[in-house]
Amino acid sequence: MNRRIIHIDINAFFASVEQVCNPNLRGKPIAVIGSSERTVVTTCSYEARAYGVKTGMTKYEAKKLCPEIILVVGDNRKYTDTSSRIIKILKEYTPEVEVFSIDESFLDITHSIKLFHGEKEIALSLKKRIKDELGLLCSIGIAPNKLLAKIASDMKKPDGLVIVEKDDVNNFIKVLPVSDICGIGEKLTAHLNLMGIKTCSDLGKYSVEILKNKFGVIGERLHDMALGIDESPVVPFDEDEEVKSIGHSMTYAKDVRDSDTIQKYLLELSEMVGRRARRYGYFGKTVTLTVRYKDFTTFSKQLTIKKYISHDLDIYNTALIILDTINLTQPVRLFGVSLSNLSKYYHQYSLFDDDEKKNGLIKHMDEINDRFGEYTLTYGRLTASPKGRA
Amino acid sequence: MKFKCLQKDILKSIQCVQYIIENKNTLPILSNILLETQKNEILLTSTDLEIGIKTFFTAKIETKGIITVPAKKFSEIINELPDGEIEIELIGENLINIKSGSISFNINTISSDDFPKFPFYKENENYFLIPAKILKNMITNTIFSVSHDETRYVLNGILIEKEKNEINLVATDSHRLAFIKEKILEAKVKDFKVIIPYKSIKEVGRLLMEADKDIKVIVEEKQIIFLIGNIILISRLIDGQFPDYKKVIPVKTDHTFLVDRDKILQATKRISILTSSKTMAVVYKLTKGTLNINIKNPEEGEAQEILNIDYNGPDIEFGYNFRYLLDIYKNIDEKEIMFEFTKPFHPGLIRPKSEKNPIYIVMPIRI
Repeated sequence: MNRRIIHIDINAFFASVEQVCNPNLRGKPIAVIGSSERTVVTTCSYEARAYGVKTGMTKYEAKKLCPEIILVVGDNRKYTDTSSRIIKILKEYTPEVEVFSIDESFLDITHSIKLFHGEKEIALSLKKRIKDELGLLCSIGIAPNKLLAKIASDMKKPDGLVIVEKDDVNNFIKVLPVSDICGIGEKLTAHLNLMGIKTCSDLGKYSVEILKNKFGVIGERLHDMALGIDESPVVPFDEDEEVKSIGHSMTYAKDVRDSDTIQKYLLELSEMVGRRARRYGYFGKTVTLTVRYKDFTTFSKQLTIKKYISHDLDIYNTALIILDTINLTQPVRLFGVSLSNLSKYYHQYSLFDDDEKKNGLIKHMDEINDRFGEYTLTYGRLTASPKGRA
Repeated sequence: MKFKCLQKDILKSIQCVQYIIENKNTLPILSNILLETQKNEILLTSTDLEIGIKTFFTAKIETKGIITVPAKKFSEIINELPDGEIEIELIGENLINIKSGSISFNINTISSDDFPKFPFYKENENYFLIPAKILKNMITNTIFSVSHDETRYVLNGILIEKEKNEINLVATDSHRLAFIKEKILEAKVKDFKVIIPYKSIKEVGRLLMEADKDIKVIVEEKQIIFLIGNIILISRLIDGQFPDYKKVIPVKTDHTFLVDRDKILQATKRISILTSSKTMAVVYKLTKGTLNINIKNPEEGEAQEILNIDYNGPDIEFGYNFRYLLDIYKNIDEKEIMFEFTKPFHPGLIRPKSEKNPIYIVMPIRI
């Protein structure tokens, strides 16, 4: 069976989400930054890219290139929500969806092509739905494997669709600079260039043995890459890959020290963790709290409790117990909450109405948030959360 | 302070008080036992601030005194001494000498000044009497259901409830519940409901093992006192509202079956070999005349065992946490047990055939 793999990449994801949420930003050069007090550009819109602004620049560099650039403080919750909605759409085309990062996924469509009358049709339909339902553009690559699909989707941005047929693989890969391959970074590229290797066809001429001698275990992989060979499967989240922990962390706009704000932040993180744990049908026994101080000293402390939990407030309360045992000696830059020691959820009925009511309540909250978008229904104390979260 | 006593007398008293002492204490004095001379006795006291235990043994007092000794070392030393008379003497400001024949130990002590005061109670008010064996049995039959989830502290103990001339003991972790009632002998106390912390009631159970007379239980607003022979145990109560357990004990159930206790215990134990932390449920499938106990664990495998039982109800299936079931079967002291239920996802009731006491309630797992 000839495999057909899609790689989908949402164009300028963070910036586009911000533009969708705020019409005033549309069509303008914007850059998303971690927070108003942090300076590195996480992503920028295509309008800003036209001025030469790039990810990783400081906001001062960006302003110099494009004085009218609008700096937007990112909101992780918004991105997580949009991302999960995209994944939901992707899963309608095939159950084999591998979430590669918040804005990139692989889909194995080998078995769904017939159902949707062709691979191009799947790609166009995906693009249309993501544009209509979420207002976002994406680039799609279709190829016989993940390696080539990713290269193909990178070739045309924004709003691209590049299809690599099985018989064209050779011609397609031959002229590509080695730096275009996912997994070959700057250092390796420099190394290869020194050896006179510029393109994949150059690389393909080297035998596996020489590459192994030179680069060790990755030598073989490099050889395969040069020939466009990649057997790695698309691994859907809920299969095979056992989840070890579910966690979220946030770096804050302003280093925090007052306990009220800290509690709010922990509740927010606990909510995100609980929501994700329940979505994937897990509950856990160990809660870990990670703290990073202003000076970047980072440490974690964990607590294992006697029962399995997945409710936001149970996670939150456990995190608070841990917090109580920590003497915060500096303002905090980042907090992380995670749930581990996981087990698949099973429902043990409770004798008392209150527990069943609590279960019912959280179930209904989840249903509403599933239907109307993340955090449609949330905790009162979070709605007055200070701004500048990132 | 100087006294002489028998090794076995002092050892027995130490063993009464030492178990509540925590291994690690932020206050060093709490790792110690208080020794205090009386007329012809030595009083021993220990506490973890939640429970206090006091007892005494006969001794020949030569000079009066009061001192605290490190519980662990003191107990180990006394335990290793030969049977016979030993002599204990305070020889320096913070040093005692323990002598037995040619053996001599000097150990460090801490002054008794900082040792917590034993709480005051009124011995002849608010009390009831109950035979030691009966109370012991009531504790054994319920204590395994106590919750250890610290976020629900009211469930971290056993409810003792007096209703007229009976007391009920109830424990639950919200997934299962154990209930037992017994008659009390003499009572000079109004009806009450108090929750005793797990550690305290466990200690009471331990101390009752060697008791065979009637014991006196004094119930005050914030504390409960057990007078067991020459031992006094005083414990703080858990301040809170125990859930309304009576609401969850079904008054009427639609279906029942009788089963041999040993058979269902052995079968459930066998089948539960294939449980894991991710699959705790064993399934009870009932059809006319049979109980099929089975498990399907995708990670481990499958198993089933069929018991012939007297059952005439509809076909029905329940999943239960196997531990809950085994705990119950082990504690029912009768040849046959009665299983009562109404429908899926509703509480199941397990009890001895002869009477509705004790009663165990267990909630199913969705399968």
